[in-house]
Amino acid sequence: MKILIIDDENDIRRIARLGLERVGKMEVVDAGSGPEGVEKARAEKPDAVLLDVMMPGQDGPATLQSLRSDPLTASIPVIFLTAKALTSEVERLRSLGAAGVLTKPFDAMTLAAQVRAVLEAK
Amino acid sequence: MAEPAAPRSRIPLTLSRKALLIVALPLLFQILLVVAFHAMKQRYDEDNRWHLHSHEVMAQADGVLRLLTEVEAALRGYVLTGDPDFAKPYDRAMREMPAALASLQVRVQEDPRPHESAGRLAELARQRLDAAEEVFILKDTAATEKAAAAIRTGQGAELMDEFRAEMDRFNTEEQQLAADRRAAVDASRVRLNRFVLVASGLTLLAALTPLLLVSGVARRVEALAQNVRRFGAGEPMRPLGRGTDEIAELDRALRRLTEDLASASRRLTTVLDSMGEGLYQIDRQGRLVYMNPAAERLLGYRLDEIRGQPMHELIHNRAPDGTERPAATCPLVGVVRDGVVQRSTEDHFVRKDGSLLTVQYTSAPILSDGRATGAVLTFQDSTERQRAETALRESEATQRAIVENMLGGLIVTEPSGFVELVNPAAETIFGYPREELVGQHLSLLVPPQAAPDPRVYLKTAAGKALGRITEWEGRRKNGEVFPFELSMFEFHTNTGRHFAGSVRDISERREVERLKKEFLSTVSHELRTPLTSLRGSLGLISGGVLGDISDEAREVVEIAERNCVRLIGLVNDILDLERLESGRMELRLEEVTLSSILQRSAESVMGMASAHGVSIKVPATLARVRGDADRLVQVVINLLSNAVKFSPRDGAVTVSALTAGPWVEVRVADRGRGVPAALRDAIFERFKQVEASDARQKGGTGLGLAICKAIVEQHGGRIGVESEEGRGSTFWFRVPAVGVLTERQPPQDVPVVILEQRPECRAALTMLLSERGHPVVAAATLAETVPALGAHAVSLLLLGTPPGGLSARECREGLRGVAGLEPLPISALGELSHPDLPETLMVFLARRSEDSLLKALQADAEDEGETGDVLLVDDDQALLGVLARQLLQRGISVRVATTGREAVRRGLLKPPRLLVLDLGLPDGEGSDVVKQLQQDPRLATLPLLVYTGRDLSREQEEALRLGPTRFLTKSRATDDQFLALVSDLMGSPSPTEERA
Repeated sequence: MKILIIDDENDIRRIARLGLERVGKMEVVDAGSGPEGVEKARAEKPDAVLLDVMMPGQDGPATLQSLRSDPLTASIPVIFLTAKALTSEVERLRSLGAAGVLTKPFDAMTLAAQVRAVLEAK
Repeated sequence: MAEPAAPRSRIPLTLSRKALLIVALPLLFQILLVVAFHAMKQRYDEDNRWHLHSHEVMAQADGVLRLLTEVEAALRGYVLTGDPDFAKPYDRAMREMPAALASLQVRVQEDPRPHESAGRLAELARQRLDAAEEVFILKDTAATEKAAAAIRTGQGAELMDEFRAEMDRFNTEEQQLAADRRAAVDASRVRLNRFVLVASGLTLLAALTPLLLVSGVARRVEALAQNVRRFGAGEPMRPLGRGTDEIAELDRALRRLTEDLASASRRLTTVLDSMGEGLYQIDRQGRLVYMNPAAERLLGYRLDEIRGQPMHELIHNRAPDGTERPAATCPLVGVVRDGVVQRSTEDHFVRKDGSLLTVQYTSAPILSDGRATGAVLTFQDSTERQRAETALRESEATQRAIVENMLGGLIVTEPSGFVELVNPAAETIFGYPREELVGQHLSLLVPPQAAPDPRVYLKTAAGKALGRITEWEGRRKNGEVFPFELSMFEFHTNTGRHFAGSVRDISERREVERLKKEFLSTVSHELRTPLTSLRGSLGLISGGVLGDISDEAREVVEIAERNCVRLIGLVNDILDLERLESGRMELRLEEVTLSSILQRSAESVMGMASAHGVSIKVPATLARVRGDADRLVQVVINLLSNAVKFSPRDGAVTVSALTAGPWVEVRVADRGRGVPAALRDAIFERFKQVEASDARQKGGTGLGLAICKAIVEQHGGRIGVESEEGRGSTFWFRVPAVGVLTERQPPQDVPVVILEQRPECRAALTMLLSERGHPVVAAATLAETVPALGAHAVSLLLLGTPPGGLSARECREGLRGVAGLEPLPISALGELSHPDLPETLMVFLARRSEDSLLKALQADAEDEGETGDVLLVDDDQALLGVLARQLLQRGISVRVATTGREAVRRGLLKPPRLLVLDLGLPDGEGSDVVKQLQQDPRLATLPLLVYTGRDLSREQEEALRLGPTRFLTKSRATDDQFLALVSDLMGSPSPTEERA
């Protein structure tokens, strides 16, 4: 399984990558911004995208929009990563068309499992 | 005051009447006398007349005699002499005779007494005359001889003698009569004289009566006059005696007058004496005539001390500052001089001791014929009043100062919304100077959204804002719309009703809140981001994913990780709490079963609990609550973990739930060290733990209870703790309940008897059933049960753990014998299979009772969600019981159905793991069940054990398949075989055919 991580924080990308690769045995590509993420998505065609919500410039929802508007990437399931755990926030994000929402801080050890659970439920 | 009583029975004798009497009586008297006198006189006259009459008669009779004699003589003479001179008297006498006779007759006839004599006389006279005539004639005719003969014969003389005799008689009579009459006359005269005497005497007397009366009146008038005099002199009056005339009236009136005057005088005195105001009266020269006690008191003088002294000089000639006040300029003196009323609200009198008395007074002249003869002055001590006025002024000034200086804006309007008052702060807030606001309508200040009808807007707003603190938008003079906080209230004065609002511009606060909100969201992101990396990194290292590390390194990393987790928890808690407390925590409210919440919480904490060696007991409950399930779980988890943390090893944490009115109360009890009384409220505050070292030792952020409190209170509930130091604590919270009873009411009148040895099981069962509205009788031993069964028309008995070492079967036999109760199988009711219910529950149902109860109980089970691994279907309830028990004893949960339809329904509702079906259901339902179930994809693969009373053909068997299917013939099956088949079917997914 190939996962694309889009997050502006280096550290988080690194941790997530380690978690997914080492624990979840997944292939990981990452991008540091929304636009870069969209490009990477087009190029790499991942099975799922882990998308940070709060990013400078083009934020998570906007990036999702971007992905959806491109037929190449429109069908890739997107999982939001957010620091805000408010139910309303989660629902809002879900209603945007995300496959799932994971909150930060996440446990790197279980990240892969969580991703899988979300994808399976789809 | 009583009047002298006037006699009512008689006609009142007023003076006029008396006067009338005085005049009338004597008059009457006189009249009577006169009349009497007259009568008497008449009598006298009468008597006299008759007396005279008698004499007249006699005279008359004499006359007649004389005439006769004359006649005789004449006749003789003539006859004898033949002298015609004798004829003349004869003729004359003869002529006069008739008249005389006649008049004698007449006279006699007048007399009422008999007059026979007179008649005879007359007759005789006539006869004589006749005889004389004859003789005369004879003579005349020259029959002188004859005539002389006639004379000589003496017929005439006889007649005359007769006549004379008769005359004598007559005269005697008449004389007697005359004498009698004379006597009468004399008597009459005497009477008359006497009468006159008496009458005179009486008249004299009569003349005295008026005198008496008059004197009486005069006396009484005099007495009256004396009384008046006495009254004038102040002496008591003498009574006048009874009487009904005007004098008595006058007396009574006088008395009344005097009494009225007296009481008026008393009233006046009372008034004067009890007046709080001082009053004094001065004469034309200003000298004191009278002073009332209050004046005495106020001025310090007694009346008799200063009577007659000039008042102005005494009390009013000095001003407070000591300067003289001459009488000429004193307005009080002017009262008498000019005859005008004077008033003053503030002046000073000088007391006896020289001190000054602040007064207000009114002075009026006493007028007589337009001139003032004195004056009356009333005054009162106005020290108090002035003090009060001063105080009032000061208070008003203070209040005004407050209003003017307060930082909050204040606007007061009258009820229809026109502004009456604004303070400077309000002016500043709205940007209008006072003059532009007062008198204007509040609509001036409403925001644009109030258009088109500001007044309606205001009215609605007032309804919402009155008595509360609310937030609105307003518009300043410069058009700027801004938010403000309004505390609106109403008040009443005697000018009417007013509305007032305290206004605070909260633009800044809103701004701050907005920033804070932004901050929170920023913070949450900002804090969590590094925490993610932190946690992630540490997790990876400690997870061994990045290669081996030394034990020490691992230990250290784990420390770091733990603390990282703790930090994350803290951040979450803070943010949670912040949101909760500012009301921005959104709760998703829905109906949830308390049981699910408790179970989830218990499961979460289970790991930690067993690590501590603490057991958690969660009750069975059918209660439902309205709330955010996740949040409530958070609360329970919090309470449970606290309880576990502070429980001793091998201790137990007990959870209980009860409904209290509209609330559900959850209680978490531990046997830990308890909470001291002083801290019972405080521990729900942030960061408060019972002991400072707790955070280190026991973990926890110290926010847990604060968050619980916030969550519970957001639900509208309450939270608290009951505890005794050293004896454990019970944390409780309440949240709104949702109705426990469902629409379908079970038959209320059926008491259920519970026979269960263990008290906690008993309690759990009792609660379960009572929640459903069943009356419950709980017993611990068979012995207790029996009377209970006897006392109530019990239809249902629940047998839990068989009491007193009896086996279930012994119990069953015993009960059947006692009360004709038959055992029925009941599935362990799904969610309720947990520690507090007995492992097996045998239900005894009286055959005689209605099916409805059983149905109700079965239906109850449905509500809790179909669970139960095995669905037993058989119309033979006894058999069902047997089978059920067998399975239950092996820890296999069961559900039952007694009809095909029921079986299908339940199967569809939630597929069991195994269906045990009696083919011999009435109406061929057994095979129907299978057919129907075959339709459903979920159930078509269901393991099935067909229980039948007869052997089936192969084709029949084929038709009756679902998933893995076995067949059992009742008559030949043993319990063991049955159980073996069941476990077989439940264990393996692959079907194997086997004939049994």
